[in-house]
Formats: sequence, structure tokens, C-alpha cells
Amino acid sequence: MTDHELVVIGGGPAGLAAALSAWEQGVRDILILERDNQAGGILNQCIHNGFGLHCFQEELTGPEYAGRFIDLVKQTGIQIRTDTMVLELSEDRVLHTLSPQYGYESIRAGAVVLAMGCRERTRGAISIPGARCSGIFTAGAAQRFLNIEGYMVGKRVVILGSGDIGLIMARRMTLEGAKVLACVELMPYSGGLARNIVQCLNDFDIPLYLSHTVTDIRGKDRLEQVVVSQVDEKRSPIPGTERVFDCDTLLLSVGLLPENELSRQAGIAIDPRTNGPVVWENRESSLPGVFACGNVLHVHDLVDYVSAESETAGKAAAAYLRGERPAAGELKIVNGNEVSYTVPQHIHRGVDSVEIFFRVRNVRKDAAIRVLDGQTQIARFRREHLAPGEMESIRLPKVLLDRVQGDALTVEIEAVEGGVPRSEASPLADIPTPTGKGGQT
Amino acid sequence: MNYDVVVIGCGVVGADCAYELAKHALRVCVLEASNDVANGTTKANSAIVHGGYDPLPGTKMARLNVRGTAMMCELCRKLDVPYRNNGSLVLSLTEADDETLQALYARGLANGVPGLTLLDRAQTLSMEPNLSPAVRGALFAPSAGIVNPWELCLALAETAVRNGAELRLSAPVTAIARTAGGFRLTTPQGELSARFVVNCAGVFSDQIAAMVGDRSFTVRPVKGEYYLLDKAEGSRVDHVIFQCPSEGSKGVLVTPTVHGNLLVGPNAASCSPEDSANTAAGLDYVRASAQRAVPGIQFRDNIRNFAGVRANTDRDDFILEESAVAPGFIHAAGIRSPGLSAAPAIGPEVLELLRQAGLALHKKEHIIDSRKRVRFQELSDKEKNALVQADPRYGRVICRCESVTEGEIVACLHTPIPPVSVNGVKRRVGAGMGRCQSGFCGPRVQEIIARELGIDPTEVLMDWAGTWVLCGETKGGNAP
Amino acid sequence: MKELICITCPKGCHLKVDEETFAVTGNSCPRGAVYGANELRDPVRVVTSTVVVAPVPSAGTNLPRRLPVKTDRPIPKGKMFEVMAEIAKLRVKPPVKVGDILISHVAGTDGNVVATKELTSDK
Repeated sequence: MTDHELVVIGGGPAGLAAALSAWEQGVRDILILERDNQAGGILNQCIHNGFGLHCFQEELTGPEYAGRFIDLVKQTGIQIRTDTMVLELSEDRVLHTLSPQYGYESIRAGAVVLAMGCRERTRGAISIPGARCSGIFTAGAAQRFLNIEGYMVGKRVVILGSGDIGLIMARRMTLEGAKVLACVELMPYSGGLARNIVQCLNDFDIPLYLSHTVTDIRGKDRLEQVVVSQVDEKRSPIPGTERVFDCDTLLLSVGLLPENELSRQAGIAIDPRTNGPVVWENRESSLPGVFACGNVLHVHDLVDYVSAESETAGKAAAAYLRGERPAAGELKIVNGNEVSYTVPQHIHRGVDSVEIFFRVRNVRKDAAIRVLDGQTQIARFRREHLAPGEMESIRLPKVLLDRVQGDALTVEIEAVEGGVPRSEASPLADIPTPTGKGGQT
Repeated sequence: MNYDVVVIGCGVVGADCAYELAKHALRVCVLEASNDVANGTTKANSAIVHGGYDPLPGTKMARLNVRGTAMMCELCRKLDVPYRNNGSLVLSLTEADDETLQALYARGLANGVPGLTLLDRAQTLSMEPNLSPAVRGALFAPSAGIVNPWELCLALAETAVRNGAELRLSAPVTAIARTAGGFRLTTPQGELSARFVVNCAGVFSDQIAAMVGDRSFTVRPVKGEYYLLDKAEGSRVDHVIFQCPSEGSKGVLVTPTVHGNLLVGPNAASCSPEDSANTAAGLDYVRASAQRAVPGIQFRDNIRNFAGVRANTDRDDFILEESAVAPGFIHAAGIRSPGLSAAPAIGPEVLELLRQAGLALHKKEHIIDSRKRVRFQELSDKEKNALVQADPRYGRVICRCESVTEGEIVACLHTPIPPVSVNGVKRRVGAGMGRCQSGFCGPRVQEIIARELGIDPTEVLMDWAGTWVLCGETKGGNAP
Repeated sequence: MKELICITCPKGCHLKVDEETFAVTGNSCPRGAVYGANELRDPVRVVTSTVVVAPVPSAGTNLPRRLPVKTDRPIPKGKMFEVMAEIAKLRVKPPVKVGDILISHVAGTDGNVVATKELTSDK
């Protein structure tokens, strides 16, 4: 058993930023555990540009963005241990790790930052019917083959899901010589940024089918055809609208899920709406001394926001190690009308201003976000544009928080006359479907 | 090449025949059409060891089910195959079901199923608290269990090979001629002759029979579709949960797997022999049916759907007999449910049929009858450390969902029957079986297979022939 | 009239741009007008890709198979595939630093292809 003050699980953008922030706060014994053979996480395979506009005021590619953080870490005494898998995290912050270099090793941590990121939803997660042939990849797996290993996964491609990874892959595959036949989106709006619709689909005349989904997969050995059907407002396929595409590859970009197996095992409370830990405003989980940030907490659209959130977590971990504890007293944040989740889920009373991040359920123009203390509106924020694919945030100043009477604040979208059509849940999807993109800009 | 016995098909039935044959002083060859063993019905089924109360008394199915189930535990222990004797419950949910349970109980007693007990509602719910409140009682079969079917098949085939049997993969039999001394079989790899042939060709066993002019049975393939759920749902039930069979359906079952997942299925629909496609209607049926018994199943935790094809025939029983038109040609055909449970008893049964047909059986003096593979996750901390020190590749986790190390993957690529595909590795060591479905480890497994087998990564298949994964390198590649 | 979606912010205004005068309507801010006119007059894009890392003669090095690159400024949209064709011919060896110019004035543009990741042989 070895001891370290702070152990960060994951050496992607979240872990690197959290470690750096803790270092800046004076923590001098920091160990980052990374399961891959290099730090940087998923950014290593996101070779496209568009990262860093908020953080560095310039457009960087994924490897450049990660490189900046890795260079900063190298200037500190932070240790990065690659090829190291955390197999288990116990309630008393003992990590059981495995690596070729150190074997099976137990590490006791004064504080832990969870920064394990997320994984892609698969064909199984959405039960796409059809043949069990080869040629069906999650967009991220295809991206790794293409950008890291240098292999093409196919020549004629259909993409299901218009999240940013799918859109980015449409352009990458096209530039490398594949024919991308269609991008198919279940929802009536795209989950990706307008910029990616324009530059990854429109630039190459790739059609986007909104309110459509894949209803059959055909092929004895390798994929030969996919059948795409239009869906009704309940997201059920409409018979007679089938369209057949001859293709050898289907890429799935159907959402990301925070990877919280370690957190669950440690008994950390998980919010079923984010699939990430329930956290306070300082990103501390239900287990004291264990913090979470980045896509393991909730799926982000922009890596810049991951870095900012991780800074908060790193700073809080440093404070915890100094023995500082927040004042008692809890204020819950409740999801109101059209709000699918918030992070944090609760805040300590008496804290300074707090930024609440959340996602909305519907695309809205000229909308307002309301904050309620019981039935009383205490703040209202106007937004010209809201979309489920874009994370929203509001900042609540201390003066406002100090005036709160009740024990919960509700964040909601102001109702409009006539109401907004609420998309009904599919039988399998009693879950928020943030078409999150996880640092893919 | 001349053999005493050629076994056609290396599913669990063919593998058990080979395993039993290889204990004797015989030249044995197993011909498998696919590029791996266990690639037909054996790889896609309920993975259940049935108690044996279901088949009608007096049938081969009844006799071999009960006997096979009794043999399973010891066989799996010897050959290091994951098996758990967790018992099964057939639920009664309606008044009519109560009668069915009585009938199954009586049938089970007649078949000699050990320990059968009828449980009342309270007893049933105390054993399985997540069952539907509508449950009225259950038939408990303590001898039932769950097993890893493809590892059972692999272990039997590997042991047979280590005992001297020959295995030829990608060797579909395309023609069989009768000769003076027996049979001449044609495969794309050449011709071979055999004094005796055992037909274990599963859904294709009628086509193989027809090659010797035997048209005494017809396979009528039936497809069953499944959900495989995340380990988060793996403890939803502890026993194998059946519903009462009704007209046309054995009822959808819900069971933990030996890997700790939850398996739900199957439906039943006739199909072509190689149709393993899932259908929206089939999956809807399975989901709705399972929820009648276990309402709380979280299907959002599904990680994979699959479909398996069972080799049902136009006969009501297993077809275990010498062909009436081709002496020396033994059928082990129509082995549908409870075929996996019966498999350990089918090999000895086939040996007896061969003996009756004139094959002399002399036991070898020395045979291998054990097998062991490293399951890194199950080792103690001390053993883990020792192994990583000896071979650092055991310290590198490749499949993060199932914690499978590079050492285990490399080891399986150097066994008597090495895999040639990503799914072949998955079936052997579990890499890619977890919730990300090889999204993360797929590219790395691909690379390891290519490296260890000395082939190009583009040649590594997902599974059977034709299931290519990569179509080439970008930018002309970086070959020297 | 050409219809465009503005990408300068997440609002995604639907712009209409006159092909002769480059006058823009449908924008809700001045940035939209600039974007709309530029998209028609002279659309440009940054190209990102990978280049092949030349095989190393000595065994034991753990080099990646591909090195990520980008054009260091946006290049004319119509030249994207020409740029890709030049990138495809390139082979690189270590050492390469982030920002190193691997192809200057690629495909006759004023953009250079630069490395976006370090390539070292001592890994």
C-alpha cells in the first residue's frame, strides 16, 4: 500500500485540469492514473479543430488542446502513470490498480478526483433490429481506427445520430475517400452544432434526415444495406416510409454515457438523469473527499467547459486536503419545467455565487429561464435560443442565495402559451438523451 | 487421409463426441464449416442446464437431459468451464399454470429429475423477491444451472485435440461418397476417408444426411431472440426463471449468466438455417413476455441483442441413430433444447452407437482430462502480482469493462484452437463482452490478434468468414 | 439568393445572401452579415488530417502509425481535396514538434500543413 495526497483517476482533459488546479492550490503530491498509454484521453483521436475558443481564445485541434495541458503538467511535480487501470475504489479512498510496471497495487488517497470520462451508447443500448453482420461501429471506435491506427472501416457509410462525433466522422470519412450517403437523426432537430452541420454535411452534400431512424440492418457477413424509416412524433417508425441504402458501414453516434462503474462500486450516489455522481457546487460527491468532473459527471458539449469544471473540482480537493469543510446546510436544486438535469444537484448554504449547469428538453427561441424559491420567482434569465444539445448555465449571486427561504430552488423554462410539444419517451428511453458530444467541440 | 471416425460439425455436440472418441485409440478428425468452433447454435442460446422435467418420459431427450445435467458439474470442473448450479423455477401466474406445474412435476418424477419441489407463493417470493406479485407458486428444480456454452464446446474440442484428434476449421463438407471401407468426404481443403461418420451438423444435419441418400428427417430451424443486459441487472434474479409453456411457446426465460449478466429470451419463429437477425416484433415480444414474470427488469441496461437458431426437426425427439440407408453413418441430429444440457451424455451415447455399428473401442492408457486457463480477475492479489512480474502483459488491461488483460488475450491466441477473429477472442476470454461492446478494446484486440498471428490487421475478421472489419489503410499505408 | 445557416453562434440564423451584391438578410447580428458575405464570396476551411509516420528500421521503438496535422490557416473550400492529396503523399519521421511546417503553401494556397502533436522516438 502506498499513500498519495491526491489521486486523479483519468488523464484526459478533466483529470489534467483538476490536477493542475490542485497543484496551483499548493497540493504537492498528486498522482494521475491513466489507463491508456498516453495522457490526453479522447482528445488524442479528435484531430479536428474548434477546441479552446473559451480557454485559450484560439481554435485548436484536440491533440493541441491536450498538449497544452500536458506541457503545463510537465512543468509541475504532478506524476502521470499511464497504462494503469483502477479496478476498484473503496469507500475509504483506497484504489486497487493494475499496471505492467507496478503490478497489482493498492493506493491510499487523501482525496480522489473522478475523471474517467464517458463511453458511447452502442447498438445494443438502443436495440436496433437486423442482421448481426460486421460493419457496425460506434463513431468513436471508427474514429480511433481512422485517426490513431490509420485504417478505413468502410467505403460507403450511413451515420445514425447527428451528434457532433457522427458529423465530424462524416467529414473525416469523406476526406479520406469514403462516400457518406446519409446522416439520420431520430429527433426533429440535430444534436450537433450548426457549425458542424454546415462544415461536415453541407460542404459535402451529405443529406441529413431528421425524424428518421434505422429500422433494419441487412447483410449475411458484412453489412450490405440499412433501411431508414421516418418516425412519427412518438418516435415510432412510420410504415411505408422505408428507404434502403446500399452501404458497407453504419456509424452510430447515439449518445454518450458517463462511465461510473467505479463510483457505483464505491457506493457514491448517482443521479439517474445525468448518469453521473450527485455533486455539491464544489463537485464533491456523496462520498467525502471524492470529487468528480468532466464527462464522468455529465456529458459536456465543449471541452473548455470540462476544463473549467475540473478546475473547480481540483480546487475543492485541495481545500479538502487542507482540512477545510463547507458549512452545513443544504439547498437542493430541483429540475422544473423542461429542464432535464442540473449540475450541481445541491449546494451548501452560505457559499459564494454558484453557476448552475443544465440541459433543456426542447428547442426554444426567445425563452426565459426562471429560478423559483418555493412558488416565488427570484431570478429570470432571457435566452434567444435554447436547445437540448447545448448545455445552458446561469449564475446565482451570493446576495440572491442568501435570501432564499425554502430548502430548494427550482430551475425551469418559462411556459409559453399553448405549450411546447413535449416529446414523449420511447419505451426504452426513460432517460435523458443528451446528444452529448464529450469534448468534440 | 484416412480416419476411423470423422465428426461433422464442432458445436457442443460434435465437440463432446470428439472428446469421448479421443479417449480411445482411434484416428479422429472433426470437420467444422466455420472458422471457429461453437459458431452455430452453440454460441447463441439460453446457456441453461435444464432440470429435465420438460421432455416427455421415455424419450431420448428426457433420458439424456437428466443424465447430461448430472454430468455437467464434474465435466465443467475438470475442464475449467464456468458453470453454476443455481436451480430453476417454473412460475405459475394463472390458474391454468397451476395445472401445468402439476403435470411438469409428474413428468419430472417420471424422468428421474432429482429434488423437484412444488413451492407455494410465499416460498417462491422468498427465493426471488423481484418476481411479479401475480406469482402463485413455482416448480423448483435444484439440479438446473447455467453454463458458458461456447467455453464448454471449446474446452471439449481443445481436450480432444490435445488427446490427438484432428480439427479442421473452415472445412465444410460438400460431398460424401460411399466406399468399400466406409466414406469419402469432400471439403475445400481436400478429400478424406473415414470408416465411420458422425453427423453433428446442427441446422445443416439434414443436408449432410442427404449426401449419403438419407432423407429420413428434415430440419425446421427455429429462431429465438434475446436481450443480454448489463451486470447492473445481473442480480435481478438468482435462479433460472421460466414461465409455464403455453401453446407454441416454451415461455420467455429470465436468468443470470455465468458472467454475471442478465439474459432474457427467447421467442420462437421459424426461419432459414443461417438467419440470426433480430426483429423489432421479436424483441418487443420478448420484452413484454419477460416483464410478466419479472416486471422490474431495466431494459435500458441492455448491452446486446442476438438471435440463435435451434435445429428443430420434423421428429419429436433427438435423432441419435445409425442411418438406415448408410451403415456406419451415425446421426446426432435435431439436437435442440435441451441439447446443451444433454451434450455431456450425447458423446457417450454416440460411442455406444458406433460400437454397435462395429467400431472397436480401446481406451488409451494415458489421456489428458483436465484444462486450466488464467482468469486474471479471479486471482488473489498475490497471484496477480506474481503473474504480472513474470509477464507484464498481465498488468495491461485491454478490455476495461470486463477487466481482461493483454496476457489473457495473448495466451488464448496460443492455445490448441487459436481464435482468428475479434469475437473468437471475445468468446475465449471475454474481451468485448461488456457494456461498451468492444467500442474501446476492439481496435486494440484487432492489433494484438494481427501481431500474435503474424497477419495484417485488415485480415482480422469480426467473426465468421466474410465479416471483415477494416478495408485498408489510409493514404497508401506505412508498409516499408 | 443563396440560403445559409449562420454558424457564428449557436442560434443558427437562416441567412439569405444575394449572389451578386452579397447583401445578407435574416441575420440577427452584424457578425452574421459578415459570415454570410464571406461564405459566398470566398468560403474557406481549416483542413485537419493525419500523415503517415514512415516505418522505422530499428525495432523496439513505439512510434504511432499516424501523426495528426492541420492547415495553419483556413484555405479555400474548393481546395480541400487537393490539400488532402498532398497530405496523403507525405511521410514523416521523428523528431517533429507541434507547429512544425510539414508542407508549406500546400496546394498553392497560402496555408501550411503543420503538426498538431509531437512525434518523438524515445517513448
